[in-house]
Amino acid sequence: MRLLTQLTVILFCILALPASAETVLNRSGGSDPSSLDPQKATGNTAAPILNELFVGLLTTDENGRMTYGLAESHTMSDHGLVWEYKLRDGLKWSDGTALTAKDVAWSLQRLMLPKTAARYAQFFYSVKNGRPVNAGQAPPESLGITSPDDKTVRIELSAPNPLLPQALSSFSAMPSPRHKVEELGDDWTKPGQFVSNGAYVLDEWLPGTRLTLKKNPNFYDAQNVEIDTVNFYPTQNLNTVFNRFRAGELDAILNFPPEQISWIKENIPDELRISPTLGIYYFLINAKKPPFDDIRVRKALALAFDREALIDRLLNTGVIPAYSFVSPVVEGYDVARASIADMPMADRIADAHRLMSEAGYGGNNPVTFELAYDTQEENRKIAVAMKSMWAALGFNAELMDTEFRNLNRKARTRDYDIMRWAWFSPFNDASGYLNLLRTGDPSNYVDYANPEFNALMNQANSISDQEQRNTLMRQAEQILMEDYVIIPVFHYVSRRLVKTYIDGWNENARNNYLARYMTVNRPD
Amino acid sequence: MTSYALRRLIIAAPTLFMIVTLSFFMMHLAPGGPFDAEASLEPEVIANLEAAYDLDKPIIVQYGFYLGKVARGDFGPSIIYIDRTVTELLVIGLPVSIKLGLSAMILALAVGGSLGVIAALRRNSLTDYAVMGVAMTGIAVPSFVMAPLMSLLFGVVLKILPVASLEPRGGLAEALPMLAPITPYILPVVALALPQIAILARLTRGAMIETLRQNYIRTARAKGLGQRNVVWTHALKSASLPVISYLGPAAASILTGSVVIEQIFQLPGMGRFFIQGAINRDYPLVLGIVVVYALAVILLNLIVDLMYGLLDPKVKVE
Repeated sequence: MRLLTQLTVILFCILALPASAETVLNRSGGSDPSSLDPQKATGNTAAPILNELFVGLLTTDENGRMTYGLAESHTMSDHGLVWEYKLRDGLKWSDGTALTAKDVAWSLQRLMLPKTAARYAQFFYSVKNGRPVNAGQAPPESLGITSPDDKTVRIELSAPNPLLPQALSSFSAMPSPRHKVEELGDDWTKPGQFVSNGAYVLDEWLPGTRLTLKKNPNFYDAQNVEIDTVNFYPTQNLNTVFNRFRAGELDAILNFPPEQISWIKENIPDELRISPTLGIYYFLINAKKPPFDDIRVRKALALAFDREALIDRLLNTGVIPAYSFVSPVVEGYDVARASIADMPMADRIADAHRLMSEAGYGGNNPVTFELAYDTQEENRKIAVAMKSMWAALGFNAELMDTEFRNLNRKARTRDYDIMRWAWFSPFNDASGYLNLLRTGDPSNYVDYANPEFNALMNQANSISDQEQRNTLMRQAEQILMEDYVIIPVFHYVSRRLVKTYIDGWNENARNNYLARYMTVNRPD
Repeated sequence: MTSYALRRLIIAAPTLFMIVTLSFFMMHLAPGGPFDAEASLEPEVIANLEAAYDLDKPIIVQYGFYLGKVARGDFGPSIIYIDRTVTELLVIGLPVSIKLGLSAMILALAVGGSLGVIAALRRNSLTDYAVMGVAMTGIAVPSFVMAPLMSLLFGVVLKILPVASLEPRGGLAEALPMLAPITPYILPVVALALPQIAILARLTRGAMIETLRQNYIRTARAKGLGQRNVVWTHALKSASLPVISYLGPAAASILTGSVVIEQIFQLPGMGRFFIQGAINRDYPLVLGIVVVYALAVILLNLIVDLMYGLLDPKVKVE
């Protein structure tokens, strides 16, 4: 009996030993990915995982910049209306099946079918018949995405779209294994049956616990992939994530409780990574509702709101005060800041008082309105600060703390006076922001309708010369900023903790950190 | 007794129906839909999504569809986990929640019960005050405070248990590999059991003191029975009645408590899916979990009632 016990103990000891010296990366992954089907997936927690599993025609390099993926070259003709991508030689799926241009074209067609119910089909509405096919009003065959031969994907557009390459590098344009999808239906994404074409392939997925990826030997650049296993741990509770990082359970985390920042700066400064992202935190003003239809009232709000004081004294999270709508990290674009940005605060307050009395409001005739935000400590702090900064001008903001979904409903139904909002541009391009404020855009929640702005944006959206586009968009942003229909508060930064023994985790605005470019030198 | 149990189960059917109906409509009444959090979807895309989940039909038709599916044991596809059905998620979540809940219940009964008996036997002694002091603290400190503190102390500072993971990590798993598989559950189970330990200790103490004052205990002692015999054979059975009757509510609070605990310790139990489902308006997922929770409460209450009949001769279950 004793012998048996001893044997058991020895067995357990052996089992507990690491099997081999394989390289593992353990990272947090926000919540579970919505799906591992590139066409059906949505949200920013699916992106990092799909980016490891799949490669589209275009992908990102180790610094987050766009580069060729499956394609090795491309041509553009007919004034930007026809794009042809040539594929590399010898491409394979992880199960060894040959991957051809037919697979890529089929996946893009699949993205546009109404039955797929893909969210990001809308990024390809510029493709010939893209919108009608997605709405079920045109036959799928009429879509402008074809594969004339096994090495060519041809995309015909109905209007020039300078953002097409960016859309093609996003996960929704990555190929799905047609042979598996047709054989297994929705079950093809289950571990064991899963087939991908990127640096990694799915090994195990336990929702809520762990998602494990293993190196894909059939990946075209497999010889340069050093990490064998990538574990994504879905962890939403920020305190738990932070504790797991401190305990060494995770090598890299995407967020931490903001109140820990001073502890981190003092104790583990080398592991802290703060970098600007493509996100903006701002307030929407319902400019159709009196008295906000008066630009003087809107401008007074913007003038009297001291962003720097709020951010330095109250938030202390490293975010960047915003006077523009477009993020300053957008490549090659020089943001247009509101003219109030350079005024001293005292002048701004004086100006605000003057505008308010001209508009007929002030202490004797206060403006009472609802200031809505979704339940989060940071939002509450900002709203309280705004309320007190505005109170002296004769604004009486009534705080409305609500759930995010309800806030969303308020925006859609215009059931608000002033409300908190945020936007993360899907594109590293100023139009990723400014397009939201074109008349008729579904996200134009302020019903902004400035013909001059619209004309500039439409022009920018129809040409492909990036420098010219940026000039036009900058003019458009300047107009927008002087109309004061939105109050930018800050540009988001990403706050991460990455262990110092990880190399190749390079901060970038698109938040692309691919394990295929990293190495782990874990100390033992 | 079998016919009583059967009858109770038959009565449960309309209760379940009411719960499903109420939850269905309340869920749909909550402002915002499942696709609202995603900024700027084109109307065509929203139409495709709504069609995929039958959300484009009138609510009463959706309700009919849903009832029909549930009657066939199909809870439908999850909205947040696009590739998974609700049943698949329940299959993952239920065992974790049962393991967690059952362990916490057993721990609470064993520790709470023993502490209560000890305190009752040494009434007004230092031991009694100590036990009751700890119990009061246990009731007063909520688990969402206790759990992160425990995880910080044992996971980050002492590094003996995993902070939050289903994988064995930390000093204990390394020192005693035999215990490794249970290490991930130690902290969550203790955190979940603590408030119940406190309540059960107080209940047992009160019931025990009450029972020890009874005439039949005095008779037992007069017969010359020893302390151990008096407590174990005579007093405990009757003193356990109030404790048993508390087990129903205890099970319910462990069930609700596990929602918080699973979130803090990152366990893929039903509670965690429930929260994610509710926040994201995943109607099928939330409804599926509500049905399972409701079934669990109904069953647990039935078990408590049956046990009551077995222990208390005054109660006949028929």
